[in-house]
Amino acid sequence: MAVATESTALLGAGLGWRTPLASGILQQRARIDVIEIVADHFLDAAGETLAELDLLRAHFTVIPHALDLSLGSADGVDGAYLDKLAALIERLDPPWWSEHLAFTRAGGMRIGHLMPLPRTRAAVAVVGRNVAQVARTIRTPLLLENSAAQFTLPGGLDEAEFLGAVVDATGCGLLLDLANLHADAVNHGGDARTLLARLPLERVVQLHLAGGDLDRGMLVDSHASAVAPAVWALAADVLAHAPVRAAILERDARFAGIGPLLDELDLLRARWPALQAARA
Amino acid sequence: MSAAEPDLAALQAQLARALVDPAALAALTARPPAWLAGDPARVRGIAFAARSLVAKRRAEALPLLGAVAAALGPPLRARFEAFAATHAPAAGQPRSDALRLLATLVTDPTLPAWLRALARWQAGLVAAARPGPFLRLEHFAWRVDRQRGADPPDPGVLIAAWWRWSRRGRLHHVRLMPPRRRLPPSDLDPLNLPRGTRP
Repeated sequence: MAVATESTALLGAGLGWRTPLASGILQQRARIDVIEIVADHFLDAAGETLAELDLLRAHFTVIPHALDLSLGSADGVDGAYLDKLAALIERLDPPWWSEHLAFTRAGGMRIGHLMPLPRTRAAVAVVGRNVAQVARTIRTPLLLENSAAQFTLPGGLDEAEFLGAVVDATGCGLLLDLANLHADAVNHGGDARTLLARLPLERVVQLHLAGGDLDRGMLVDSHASAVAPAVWALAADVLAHAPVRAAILERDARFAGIGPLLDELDLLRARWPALQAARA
Repeated sequence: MSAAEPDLAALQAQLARALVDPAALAALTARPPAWLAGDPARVRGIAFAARSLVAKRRAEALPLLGAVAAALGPPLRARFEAFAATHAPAAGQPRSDALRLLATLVTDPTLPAWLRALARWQAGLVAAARPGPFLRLEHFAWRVDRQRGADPPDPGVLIAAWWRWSRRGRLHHVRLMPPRRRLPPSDLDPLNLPRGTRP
């Protein structure tokens, strides 16, 4: 698996493409460096939607982010889904694409939601096998994203050991979701900054930032509010030490126009020494 | 795999079933497997995830129901939860949830006929948004295309057609509303008697 590295273009700070933000993104495109799409929204797209994608691609580097490849499934990946994903990635020709370190299918059932993996050597081996299968179809570098977990499963590795073992086994880079890291620390205990210091930061190529919501005592990664101060602090740490090439703000609900998101992109750039140096 | 580690495929299959089927979740909670036993926080977390999954499906599917959602109002939330309890997520989400829920509304005899017709109209719109060759022709006795809010639509003949000739082709949509024929007075007379001969 080819890994996106410091030789990969520094794309900058961008947004996740969502329909309620579409007109704002296109009107304010000078203030947005890169766009990430949810790949699944375009896999079975009709002509009208593909025309929208082509318009987007005319203005931005577009990074596909997949949800349902289920790289952690002991049953393996879905070949039909993989073929559609490969066609989309070929159409976009991105510098990399990404998928979650999770499973969404098992026992012949589709869950439709990202489920955590047990932090075991067996799970690392399954991810390694599935990523190798994917790499035979998609040559573009793949980044693996840490997911937020509403519950944990038994396993002998901690989060840092597990992520380290996975990137070693797969050769992939990391898409580090800082909101997920923060949510896991709040929900399951631990300190996100301590964990961050133990992660293989040299493999972090992309970041996700978002705001969550408290629901019955659980911090849910809802992508529905402004980025929390604790997540900004994590971003400053990572951007100072990791070869990050792109950082994406995710917003899926409670849209208040494009303005607040553009302001958050400016805050992100202000915390990013490498980006400031490159643009000085 | 060490002796302490559960079999990954079996664990994932048990978990998947519990997340999409309330009966399987209850069974998992009542008779926890070894990997779950003795950890109430983990059990609570799985139940939370199951509820979150239904909420996510509902939040994604209901916007696709258009005027049907407005016509049904708040009871639609409970109706979706009952639907989700018996219909596991399928490929093509959230469109597949929207279409399957609309199918249950179309055939629900407890709903007024106009609402069943509205669900059939909306199902045409949702199905037509899928890629691939498509042809659908529907006939309605209400102007469901004008439906807003919870009141029944106006009566009136509506013929709707949707078609797409190729996988990536453009969608075409036509509505035909045959004008109501103004009938001569004799046609309105139930006895159809010539003028001047009525009793």
